[in-house]
Amino acid sequence: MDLIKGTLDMLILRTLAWEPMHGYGISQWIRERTSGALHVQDAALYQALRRLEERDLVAAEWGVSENNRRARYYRLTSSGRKTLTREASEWRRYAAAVFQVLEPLERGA
Amino acid sequence: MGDGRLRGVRWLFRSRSEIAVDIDEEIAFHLEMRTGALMREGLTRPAAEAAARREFGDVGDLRRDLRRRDQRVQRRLRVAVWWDELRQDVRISTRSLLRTPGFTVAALGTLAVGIGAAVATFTVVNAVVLRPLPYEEPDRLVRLSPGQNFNIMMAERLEAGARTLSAVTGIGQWGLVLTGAGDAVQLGAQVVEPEFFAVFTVRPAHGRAFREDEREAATSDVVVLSDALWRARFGGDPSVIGRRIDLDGYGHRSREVIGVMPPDFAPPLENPAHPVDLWIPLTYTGGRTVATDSSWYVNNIVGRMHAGVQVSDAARDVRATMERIREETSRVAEDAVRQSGAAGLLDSLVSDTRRMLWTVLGAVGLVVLLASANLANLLLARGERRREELAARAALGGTRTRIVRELVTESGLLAGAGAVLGVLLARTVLQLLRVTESSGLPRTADLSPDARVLLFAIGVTCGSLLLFGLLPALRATAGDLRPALGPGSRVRGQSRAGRRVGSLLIGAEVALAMVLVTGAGLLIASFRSLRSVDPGMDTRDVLAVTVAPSPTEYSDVRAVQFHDELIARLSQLPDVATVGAIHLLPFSGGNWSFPYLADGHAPPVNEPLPSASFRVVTASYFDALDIRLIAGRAFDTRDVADGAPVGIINRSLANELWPDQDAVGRVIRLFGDSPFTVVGVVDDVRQHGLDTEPRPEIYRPLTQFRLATMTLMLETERDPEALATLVRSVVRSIDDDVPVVEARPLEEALNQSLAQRRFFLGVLTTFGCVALLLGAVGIYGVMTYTASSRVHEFGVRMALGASDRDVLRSAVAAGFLPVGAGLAAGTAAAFATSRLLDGLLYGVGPHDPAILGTAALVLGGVAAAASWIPARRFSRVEPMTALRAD
Repeated sequence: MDLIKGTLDMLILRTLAWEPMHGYGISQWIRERTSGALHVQDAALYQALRRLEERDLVAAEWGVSENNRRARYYRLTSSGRKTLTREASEWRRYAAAVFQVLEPLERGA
Repeated sequence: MGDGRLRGVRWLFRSRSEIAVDIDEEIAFHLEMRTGALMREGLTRPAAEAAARREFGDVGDLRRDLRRRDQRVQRRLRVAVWWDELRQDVRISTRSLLRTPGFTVAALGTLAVGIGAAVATFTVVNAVVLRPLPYEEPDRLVRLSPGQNFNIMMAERLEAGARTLSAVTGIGQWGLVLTGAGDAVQLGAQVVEPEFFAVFTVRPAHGRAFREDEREAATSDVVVLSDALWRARFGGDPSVIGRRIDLDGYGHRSREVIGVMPPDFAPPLENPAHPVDLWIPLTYTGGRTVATDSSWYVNNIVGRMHAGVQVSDAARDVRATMERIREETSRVAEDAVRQSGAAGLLDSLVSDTRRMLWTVLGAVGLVVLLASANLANLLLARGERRREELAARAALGGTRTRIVRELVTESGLLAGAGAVLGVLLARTVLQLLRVTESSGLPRTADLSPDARVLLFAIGVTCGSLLLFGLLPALRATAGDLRPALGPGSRVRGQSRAGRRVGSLLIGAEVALAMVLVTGAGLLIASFRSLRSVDPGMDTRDVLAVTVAPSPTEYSDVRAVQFHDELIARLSQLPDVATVGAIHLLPFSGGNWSFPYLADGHAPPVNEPLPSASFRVVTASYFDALDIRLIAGRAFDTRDVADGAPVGIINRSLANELWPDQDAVGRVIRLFGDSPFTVVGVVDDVRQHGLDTEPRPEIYRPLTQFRLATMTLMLETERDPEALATLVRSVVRSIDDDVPVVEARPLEEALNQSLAQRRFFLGVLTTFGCVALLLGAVGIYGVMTYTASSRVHEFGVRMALGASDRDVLRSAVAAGFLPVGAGLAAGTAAAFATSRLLDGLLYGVGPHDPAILGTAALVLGGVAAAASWIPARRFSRVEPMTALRAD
């Protein structure tokens, strides 16, 4: 399943809400959380990260990875956290609305 | 962007290649990790690598994209950090300036005055000299000059001979009387040829321009209105086009309106005192040649050059034509050929004032230098006082660059605020001055600042910032700051280098002020000696009233009757003593000049006839203005229209023609062919202006040289201005349709002729006063600081037996050397530069020793006072207090 436009940014922010992560970690985490149902191309992921960085929603720092390699870690900034809260609730409302429309169809089927 | 600083300097200043390496590393790390994960799921290494790459997408594309984005982020970070530090500096500097309000006010005041004066002056210079004329490709406009008086046929020949011009037109000024559209009024007209519109690339906004056949006298009864006149008198009604209006003068009683000029068209060569309301076609009588034409042409000839042609090419054309005309007729003087030529239109308009304006701008440059020196002084003293604070900061790890940067920020803040205040000051001053009225300078009606003025303001600000800002900052942090922290550091007082810089600044300020004060002194002396010049007539309590009866209605003898009646009625007004009339208001710049041949003088060979100023007057004119009769008689009732033609000449002409002989009874022929007998000689009057030597002049009686427009002179015993209303009603009672062009005291006309001088005098005197004030403040500041830093020394000396006076003397003496050196240098500089004022000087030489001496004395006095006051204050301290002052 391809990603609906605009959802990738929110997924990344949600992922980083736990802890700072490197790009591979984020990719892995999304893959695991969605059981591979969402297909995220890694190149798009990195572009999205830079986009978020430019908008000051995430910040990047070099750190050391779990296997002792130098890796670029991304963390949520305070404005990133605010954006996540706001967008998540918007998404929930949106999704709920879409479900309400779809419900009868599913029951009928 | 607060995170920027956290990441450290290395992160901020990553180079392009470092950014690229970081990106490659990030991508490589991802691919390796994914490959490892896939291999753990059972794939072989090649298969796992391939799968990882597939999942990843286009690596090359991404790499390029990330590099671009990272570099952009990098730039933004750097700007943000710079901005952050700047804000911090500004905050610190603002706080430090607010802590010392006395210093800040003094500094801002000094700067505002310096920058304000500079911007105001430059605004005027820009408006007059630099701003291009408001026509298309104004550089292609030239004014042709034949180098002598010329008649219409000569003008025609010049126009025909100028092959470098694509279009050329004569432009004359004329007065026409409009009736039947509101009150009767005299309007200013430009008399032009059909090419006028091509020369200035303008087309009437309504209607049409002149046609070729409207040059002919018979068909020339058309007129183009200015937009302002059209709106004021005809309500902006387009249907006025095609209508005939009562517009009397220049050969017609009425004219058909054929067009209205666009509202933004500025009439070329317009004299601010005589605005242009309409345009009429220039006509001339056919069948004349240069030699036979006696219509003297007082017009200007303006042309538009073909693209790519130089002014010098046009000038060569003019000289060649004049050379050819000279071969045909004696009407051209040899000198004229040499002096004939062409000049850029703008050049020709502002050539008189250009040098003066640049001189004033130079003077204002000195004011700015003075202000900068003063500020440097203030900042230096402040810097010395702050050495302790700066030393403490240096000890705490502040680098010199950082501290200098902060001090420069402080100067920058001052400069910025000073510039804003200065520009506001300049605007206010220019508004209050009403430059056009008070200076008589052309092109000053619109003094709104443009890009050039803005650029100049920025330039002056940056220049003075460099002068006053950097030096004190470097000084304040120079050398080892640490000793300033040691115990008893104050006892040592001001550093020797600091004192030297202070002395240098005092010297420079005194020298600059000396130049300005001398200039102001020279102008004041000139103006005084000019005001004491006797104009040869009594201008006090005289009301000058110009009336312009319609020349067709009041042609010939009817004009004489009208003025006779008017003079008779005005003479009966209460408090009016004598009433006389002349056809041109003295001091107004207008002039008629006619060639003549005097009996007993051979006509010049190969040269045109000499010429003299020509005035038409009534019998009582000389009496009304108390102009002295030297010989013979004034005009009287014997000089009737059909009587023997008579005239009166002035002393200059009499001395020139018949030195040591009686001029009365001689005959002079105007134009060489129209004779009159000299019946009297009057004293010279300076009617061209107080600063213009009297010229040879001929007066003829109105009865014999009949003109409609005359200026009446009412000699009165009360305030002439109060009489004006009464005079207007008398004129109206004779004929409603006769406009009173102006009614004002003759004294006012005289003063107006001095307006430009008075303007420059006022400006330079103001600069002189500002220079004195700034100099005094500067010296006071330095001396205060020097004396205060020597309090300890004074205490020691007094404890050792020196008296108050000894100490005071030594404190004042510290200022003597720099002030003396400054006076000497300033005198030399004044000597070298005052020649620039030549055009404005009258009755004093540029190196007048009395004025140089007075200026030096005044300046020396001010300097002495400015150094004595602080010296006295600090030398009066009790010895014990002074010794404890650590």
